[in-house]
Amino acid sequence: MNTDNSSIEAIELRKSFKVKNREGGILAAKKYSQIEAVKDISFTIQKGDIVGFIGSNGAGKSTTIKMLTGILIPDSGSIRINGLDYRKKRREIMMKIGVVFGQRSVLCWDIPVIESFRLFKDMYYIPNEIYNKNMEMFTDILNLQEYMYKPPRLLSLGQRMKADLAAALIYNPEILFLDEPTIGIDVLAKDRIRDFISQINRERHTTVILTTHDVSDIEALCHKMLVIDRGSLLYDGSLEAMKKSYAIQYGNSQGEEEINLEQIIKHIYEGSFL
Amino acid sequence: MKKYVDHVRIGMKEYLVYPSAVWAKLFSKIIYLYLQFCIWSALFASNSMKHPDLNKADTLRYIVVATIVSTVIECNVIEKVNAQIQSGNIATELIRPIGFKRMLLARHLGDTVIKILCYLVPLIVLVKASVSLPLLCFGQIGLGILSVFLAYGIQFLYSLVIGLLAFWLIVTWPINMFFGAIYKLLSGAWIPVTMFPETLNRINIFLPFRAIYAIPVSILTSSMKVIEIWQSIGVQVMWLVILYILVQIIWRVGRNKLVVQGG
Amino acid sequence: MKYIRLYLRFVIVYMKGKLEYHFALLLELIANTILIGVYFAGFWVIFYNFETIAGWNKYEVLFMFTTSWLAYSFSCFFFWSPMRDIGELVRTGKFDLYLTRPVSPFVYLILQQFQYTFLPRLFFSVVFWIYSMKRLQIDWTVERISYYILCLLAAFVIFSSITVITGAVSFWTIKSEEIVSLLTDNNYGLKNFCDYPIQIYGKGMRELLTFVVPYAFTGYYPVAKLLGKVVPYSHVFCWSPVIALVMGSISYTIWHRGLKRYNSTGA
Repeated sequence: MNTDNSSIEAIELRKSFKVKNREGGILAAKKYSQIEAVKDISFTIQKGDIVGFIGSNGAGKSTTIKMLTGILIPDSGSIRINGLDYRKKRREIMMKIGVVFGQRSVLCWDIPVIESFRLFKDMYYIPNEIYNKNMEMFTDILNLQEYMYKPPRLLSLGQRMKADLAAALIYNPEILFLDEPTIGIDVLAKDRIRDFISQINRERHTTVILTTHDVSDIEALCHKMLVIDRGSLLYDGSLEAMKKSYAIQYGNSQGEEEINLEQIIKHIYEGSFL
Repeated sequence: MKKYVDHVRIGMKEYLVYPSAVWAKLFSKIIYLYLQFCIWSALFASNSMKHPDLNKADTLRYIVVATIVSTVIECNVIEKVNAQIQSGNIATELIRPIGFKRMLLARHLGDTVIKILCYLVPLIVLVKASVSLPLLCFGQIGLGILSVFLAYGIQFLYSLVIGLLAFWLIVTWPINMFFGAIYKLLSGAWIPVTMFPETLNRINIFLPFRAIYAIPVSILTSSMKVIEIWQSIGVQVMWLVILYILVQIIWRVGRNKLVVQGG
Repeated sequence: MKYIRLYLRFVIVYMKGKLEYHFALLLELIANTILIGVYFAGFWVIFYNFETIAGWNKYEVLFMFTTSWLAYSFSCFFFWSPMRDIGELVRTGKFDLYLTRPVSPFVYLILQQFQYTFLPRLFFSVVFWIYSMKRLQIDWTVERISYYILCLLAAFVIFSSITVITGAVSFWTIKSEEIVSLLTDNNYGLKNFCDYPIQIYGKGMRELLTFVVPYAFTGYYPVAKLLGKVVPYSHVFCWSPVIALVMGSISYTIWHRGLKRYNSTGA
């Protein structure tokens, strides 16, 4: 099944949760109901793609990301990362993927950032030359030298995010998952982070999967889009094709070039497009 | 007055947020009471007292009543004050129309209402049902209850003093632990203070811990001369006043530090 | 080998972080020392007033509970903090991050900390352990020494298993701290029951400590055997290793069930 170029393959993923309906008192029984978070999603992501993964809150986006990163196991369906299955080759896959959650830092809170990097060096068996080369590169693009001797608790949100990104890329993962990497970050730092992601993608052909609520992230980075709503995949294709089909549906009033992505997404979420 | 009642109600609700915690706490109280009862019964059963004036019935009564009373006197004001100061929320508390310390007291009273209903009453029922031990000295019960009220106040003020130290310290849990340990021994909640060696008792006279458990529990459980009872209550009142003054000072200085340095 | 190297790195990282607040670190150590010191002081006060309890003298009881504490201190050194924190990690979703590493989350949790706060307890345990052993003049034959060492190892496994089980409960209920403290709390926990000979308790409690939460095998039974004491369930004297194996497998199973549940619900 696995072709040489596919880096992520998701086949008929399904996931549902039990949800507690109400908080009971001391003796009250709890009631549950079943919610289908993801229903039958399939897609393939090619090596070297930068994919924007969008959906409104509660659409099943984070459930899907958690399944792709091996945190959640799907009820049915399968996931292949570079042809490998989490159920059998979990450790190998973990060596090949990098995960950054915008809201949850992997860095040790009280100690200089550099120590966290050294920790990763030992954990991922990074050879010295690769480690040094990467540190040099991160210093160049992310200004690591400015803050790598400070603990994360003293960093600005932008610096912390850059440090987290660097930590996720120090072991040269082939696939990078970014969950809202630019949340709460100022414009300049955002630009830096985007430049960095596209450079890594260019040079190493790292596959990037990005979830975001910031439309400009998608405009700046993504070639491909996955749109999810109420647990189903609405769109799987290039960003341009999406704009084109939008232009056909709503297009007469505007020129194709000026189509506002934010407006498209708003229409998608409202259910009047796709 | 109504705003205080509201805070009492908030305190009650906050305490009941995790019902499982209340159950676990009640359960651990029962376990602890049982442990204490077994240890002291066994010590007397082995008939190896080194001092003839130790009395089994008195000691058991003391231990049981001290454990039961501890459910009401206990106070989590230290943690609350710490959390408020460390998170910086204290700044918003200062601009409220109700005084911070009064609000804390009102909420603590709310806690206490729940503690009485969920721990004190069940424990008393349980003890009454399982051992036929006369627990209280009925002649002194009025003064005993007065003494428990005073102890409650001392405990609250003491916790406030420790809690407010967070104005100056980054982490306060070691301080809590430090005093908690000394408190456990010297208050007489664990071992009756009458069993302490002379030196320990002499140190204890200069510390407030004795006034929290040893005094009220003694008044409740062992027959004393009236003059002795009033002396003990006098000691409690003295500590109440000292701690009250201490709280005022620490609060003023700490608040100024907050206002001047912005936390 | 890899894990040792990684652990050393983690210890450096952990202690560097702690040394950022060196005043607090010092306070923590002092506070723990006082806490444990006060416990021994209380013990001393009790035996200042009484000669024996249930036929055990001061040194015998001391030897019994320092044996248990020794194993407990080592066990907590590795397992206490990870298992206490796991509820919080699950609640905040931070546990997700532990699942995306090439090291198993269990190993990761244990490697990433260095619970120096148990050092005072360990120190006191060793001091009073040696002190009481000297006073007791046990005839240490080779069999007795091997039996005792085996029992110490078993005690370590029993304590660790119970800690892991209480931690793994977090995968089912969000608030597991109560269960942890119910069993291991220093003031009110069930663990305190194994500081005294268990025949002072009622039948139900004795059975609980022997067959359900087998704390009695961490100090009481092994030491009672060495001292030639009469015990309530005489046939279980030598079960320590068996109990340790059983508890170890139970905790292993529960932990993996918990992980699986987290994997399927996200908690």
